[in-house]
Amino acid sequence: MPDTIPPPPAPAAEPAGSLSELLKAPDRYALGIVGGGALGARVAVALAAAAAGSALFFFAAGFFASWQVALLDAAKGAGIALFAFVLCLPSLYVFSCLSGATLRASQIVAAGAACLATAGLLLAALAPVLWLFAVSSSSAGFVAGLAVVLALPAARYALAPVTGLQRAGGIRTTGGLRLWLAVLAIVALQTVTLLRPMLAAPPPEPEPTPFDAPGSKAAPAAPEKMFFLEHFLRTMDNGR
Amino acid sequence: MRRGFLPLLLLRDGDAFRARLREGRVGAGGIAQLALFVCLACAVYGAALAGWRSPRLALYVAAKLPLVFLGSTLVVAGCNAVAAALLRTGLGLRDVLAAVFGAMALAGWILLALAPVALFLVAAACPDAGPDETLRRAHNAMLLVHCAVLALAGLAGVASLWAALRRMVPSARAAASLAAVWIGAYAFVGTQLGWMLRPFVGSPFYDVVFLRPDALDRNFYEFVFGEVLPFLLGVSP
Repeated sequence: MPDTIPPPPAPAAEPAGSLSELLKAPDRYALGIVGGGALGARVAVALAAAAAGSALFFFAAGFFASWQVALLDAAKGAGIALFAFVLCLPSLYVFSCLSGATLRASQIVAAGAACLATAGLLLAALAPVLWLFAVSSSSAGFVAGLAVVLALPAARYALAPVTGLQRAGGIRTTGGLRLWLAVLAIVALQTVTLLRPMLAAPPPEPEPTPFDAPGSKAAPAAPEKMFFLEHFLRTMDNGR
Repeated sequence: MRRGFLPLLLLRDGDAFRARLREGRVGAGGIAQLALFVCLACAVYGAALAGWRSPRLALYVAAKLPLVFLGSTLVVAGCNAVAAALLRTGLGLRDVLAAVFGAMALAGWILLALAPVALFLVAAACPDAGPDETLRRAHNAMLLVHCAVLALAGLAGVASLWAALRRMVPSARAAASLAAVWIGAYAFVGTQLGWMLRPFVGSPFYDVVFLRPDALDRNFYEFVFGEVLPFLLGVSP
């Protein structure tokens, strides 16, 4: 009897175009995009995963204030992911072409959605860690800083489908799409600032003044416009 | 469409575009397409550039930014063609215009692609009213954002120009010299034209005007050597 360990059984192939394939075999997923099969379904699934992952991440962060804020943050989180993606669609197309893409527009959209979905899945996986600290911290600055730190690996692994796409021959270089992901991150961060507060309840609506018509509500004051970096620094300062 | 519309061919298949350049198959119609596309892209980005200040300035800058790009190219076109002849590259004026407008069209694609992002940042992050300090910060932040976008577009344009010249000019040394001359001349003239046609971002502390009243009083380099450098060196002008 030979003294060798039998090779492990071959792992079951992930269903083509599934989120599982995206995580475990991004190269194969990218090959599917280049092949051009079921692109609509791929985009729909990927965007749903990205929105859900982002919603879960912000839901976890919102527990720093209360469950009501968490619910509100979940809706904002899904909106942030989808809005940033839609706003960055033109740059996705142009930067993909600059990367030497030989793909059709629908394939490029599927590739961008795959990047976003990968980030969303990572965010969903890290949401419990954020939740744990959100419910047991007193500093908003700490929770905001932790959220940014946890989002970094998500941003890093969002590149996996891009390198897969390069190996599959869909693009020549990855530089353009890396740049696009940076633009996407900036838009997402600015959208977070636009939809603040994320770690506190929204300010109460002002009481109607004696000059307002009976039964009318005073218009809530619009939040001050600011860049996301300033918002982040202010949050860190307040948390101290 | 890919075959017909030259800016799209440039974006989707840069190698095919450069092959056309090398074979001299970009005619007057193609150059006009590229120039029109550059104007369109600059107009769209120009509107986003000044949108935070007022719709009127957005309209002005939508007209002025194409003027800067187009004007600079036309002013230096003769100089570029002479430089190409002196360096014995074999390129004529039509080749020069095709290569330069090709590079600018690629930069235009980047401006067009990032215009929604710039517009969003302007709308979401820049207050149009408030204390002076807040407005100054917003103005400076806007400047940084737009400088970054324009620099990115410029770098892509330079890379595209270099790739085109490497295909069109047999000698690498001549191609490098020609690229240096072209980029230097373009930057020298473009800076002055931009200086003359300011404001672009629009300072919140000045009225909205098409041109500043002192647009022709002194040039950009007089300003740099007369005020900026003495200030940086601590010397009174």
